Amino acid sequence: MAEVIRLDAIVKRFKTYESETGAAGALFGRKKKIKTAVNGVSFGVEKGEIIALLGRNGSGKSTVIKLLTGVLHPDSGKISVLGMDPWRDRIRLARRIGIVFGSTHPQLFWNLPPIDTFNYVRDMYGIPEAEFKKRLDGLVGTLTLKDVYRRQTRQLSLGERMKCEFVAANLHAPEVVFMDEPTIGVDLPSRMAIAEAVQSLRRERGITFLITTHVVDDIAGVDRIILLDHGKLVFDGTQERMRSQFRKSVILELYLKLGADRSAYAKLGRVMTSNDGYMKIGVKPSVVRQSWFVRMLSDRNIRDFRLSEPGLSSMLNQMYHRIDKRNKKGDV
Amino acid sequence: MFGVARNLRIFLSSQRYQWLSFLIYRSQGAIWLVVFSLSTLASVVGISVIYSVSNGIAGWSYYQILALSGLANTILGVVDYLVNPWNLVTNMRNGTFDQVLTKPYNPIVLVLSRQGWVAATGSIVSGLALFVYSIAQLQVNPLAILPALALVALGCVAVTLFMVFMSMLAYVLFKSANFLHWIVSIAKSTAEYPLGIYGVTGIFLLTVGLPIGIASFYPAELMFSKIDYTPVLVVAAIAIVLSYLFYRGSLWLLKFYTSGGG
Amino acid sequence: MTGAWRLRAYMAVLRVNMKETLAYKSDLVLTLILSVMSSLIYIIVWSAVYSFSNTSSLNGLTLSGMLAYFVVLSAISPILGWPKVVNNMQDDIREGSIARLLIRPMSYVEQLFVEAMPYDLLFFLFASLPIMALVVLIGGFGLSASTLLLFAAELLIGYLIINLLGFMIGSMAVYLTNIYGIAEGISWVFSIAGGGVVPLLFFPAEVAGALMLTPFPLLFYLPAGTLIGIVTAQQALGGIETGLVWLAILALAARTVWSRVNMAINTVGV
Repeated sequence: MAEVIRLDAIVKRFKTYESETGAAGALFGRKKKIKTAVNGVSFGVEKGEIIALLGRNGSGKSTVIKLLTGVLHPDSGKISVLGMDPWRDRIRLARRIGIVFGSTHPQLFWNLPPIDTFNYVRDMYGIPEAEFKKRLDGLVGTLTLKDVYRRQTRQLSLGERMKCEFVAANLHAPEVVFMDEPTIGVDLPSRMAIAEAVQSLRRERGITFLITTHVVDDIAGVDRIILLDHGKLVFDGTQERMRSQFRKSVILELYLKLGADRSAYAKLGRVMTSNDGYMKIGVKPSVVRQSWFVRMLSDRNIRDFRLSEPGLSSMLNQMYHRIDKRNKKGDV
Repeated sequence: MFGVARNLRIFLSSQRYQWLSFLIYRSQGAIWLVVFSLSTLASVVGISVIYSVSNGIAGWSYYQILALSGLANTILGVVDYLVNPWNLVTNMRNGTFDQVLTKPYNPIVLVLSRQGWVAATGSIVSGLALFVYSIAQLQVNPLAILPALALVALGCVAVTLFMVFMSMLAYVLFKSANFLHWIVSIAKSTAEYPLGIYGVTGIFLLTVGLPIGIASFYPAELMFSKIDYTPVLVVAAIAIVLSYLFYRGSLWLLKFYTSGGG
Repeated sequence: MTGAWRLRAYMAVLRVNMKETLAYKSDLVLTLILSVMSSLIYIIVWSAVYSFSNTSSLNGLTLSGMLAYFVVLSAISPILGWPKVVNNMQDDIREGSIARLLIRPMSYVEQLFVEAMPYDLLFFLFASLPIMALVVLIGGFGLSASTLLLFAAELLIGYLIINLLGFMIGSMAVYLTNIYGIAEGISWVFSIAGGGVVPLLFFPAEVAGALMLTPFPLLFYLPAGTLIGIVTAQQALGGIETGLVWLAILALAARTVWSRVNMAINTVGV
């Protein structure tokens, strides 16, 4: 499969200013600081992949999206999107990509119904009328917007607006779609509808998606996860690979008889929660396979139990802990 | 040519939706149109009072000054219609401007298409009405008006691109554009009176710095046969050069755009 | 809320907004300079008028008096000529951030006034006072205690009037999508009617008399005229009395407007 996105050793820095507290400090005291938002990031994306770009606040995710779309230019390194330099060929590239910026930077006309924005997009990208109607009907159907897109945007809920933003970004049949935190504050049904629409478009048209998000549910159907932290790439792989690297423990939940002595169970692993009648413990996978463990589960103090894999958010948390530990040691 | 046609098409399409957004609230649309005409009214009152108590300004008659004021209000109305510096700088500061940069069009065209105030049509209409009324009173030869209008158009382009450039410069240097409110106010105040009263420095600044003089004063002088064509051609050339410089300057300043957040 | 607590709370609001105003220092400095220059344009215009009329006095006002008038205006009109509360109300009501102010244990209207003060305070300290001091010293205007008192009273009443007017314009944000443009247009009316472009003594007597019954002269003509001596103490006192009546009317009107706006926000939401 051909690579449609390629970043090589990208660096992007910003100037920021820190001022002292108080009005007098604001008047006289200001220190210039250079923040490295993206620090030597390299990765590639193949045609038709759905990639989740994750990271904590300030990790550089949005900056990477802006570099890939030509909004910002890198201080060093090379970027190629669909064979073009996004900064130099920004206008040419813009015809072939779509962007959903999230609720903070909408493209919908606020006082008009979304259909007016869709018609404007049709004019902007020169979409033939028959093709426009076909795509619009398809997207509106997929996202169940039939009763929504003729109402004023300001009257729509956030979820409805984001679905309409998604439609507006895909009407011109882009080859690559960037989505920058598109589901912040959006309700679950709308998030799921957008996720399904992403899968559907990838299947039908082979569109490549790059999605930045904090919402762990958004990455359920992605092919790969790229994790950034403090501007650096710290993980690039599938969810399975992440699981195998960070699956330090399985989660054991014990439902105990009231008043039962919990000290014996605390030795099983890392106690996450311990209340009278309930414990949640992170147990090493190797321990779970031991016969004495299996026998222990029949203990008369245990009314019920549950074993589960740690969720993605738990694994991400572990990863962040590990990164912070390494940073403290100076071993970055 | 293909690029020009394409950009013109998106400009007109954007105008359609700008007007739709404006007209969706018809009553407030009417209020805005009236309110934007108030500055022209204020000019008429001010000039009328001055001419009622004195011999006037720099040898210009009452109707000549009114025509100049009408022209100034029209041009500043056009500039307001196309560019809203505060909106533009705010959008650049909070990152909404990303939407402009990720569209397949010249960003300056998109800025002029969508960042202005539709309600400024009130200024344009009232300014034009004042101008037409005044030159009718003066019985100006219509043939004398055409070359003047060509200069008005060139000056208008220069002033508009000046405001775009200044807005982007304000973003790059200060991340704020409050001071531009006063530049617009100064432009309006100065453009209503003959440039000669401001001295050589004033003439230079209002021709080459903030080129409002090119759009209002020189065309008025040409219409009233106060100057011949040679200085007009020079001024026209200055307008073209300035337009190009402000345009290229604005595009260059986009390099310093840092978006917002994340 | 006790008086001391209230004062402390409003000082906190003032401090934070002062810091926000100072966040863009270069823009602030340029704004201060250009706002002064904006009125100085009229000095050039009126110099040209006097020169072309070949006279040293028009309607009893000498050229130096006229120049002093506009210099004083340059020092006070950026504070009195533009209703700054409009800027904040536009955002608060249209964008919905009014919620953050309504949940505070203080009056929204009072918060608005306090939030609008930082720029005015800075302008008054760094521009108005030095300019007026220069005018008085260079112009040789004898300033008695009574003149200063009248001037201060006119400034204060004018300041309250412009902000109350601004509050009522700003309240229209509930019904209109962009009030900033409306405020811009209306401020030209204030300027003409208040003597911000042409001193009121140049208007026909009947017109000037009618305008003196409005609140607008307190924004421009009365304070500037009092300081440079073209407004007599009697006229100034009359203007102050009229201003106090207008203050009462505008305060009552603002209260009524606010209760409607509050209702509109609570029933319709933002």
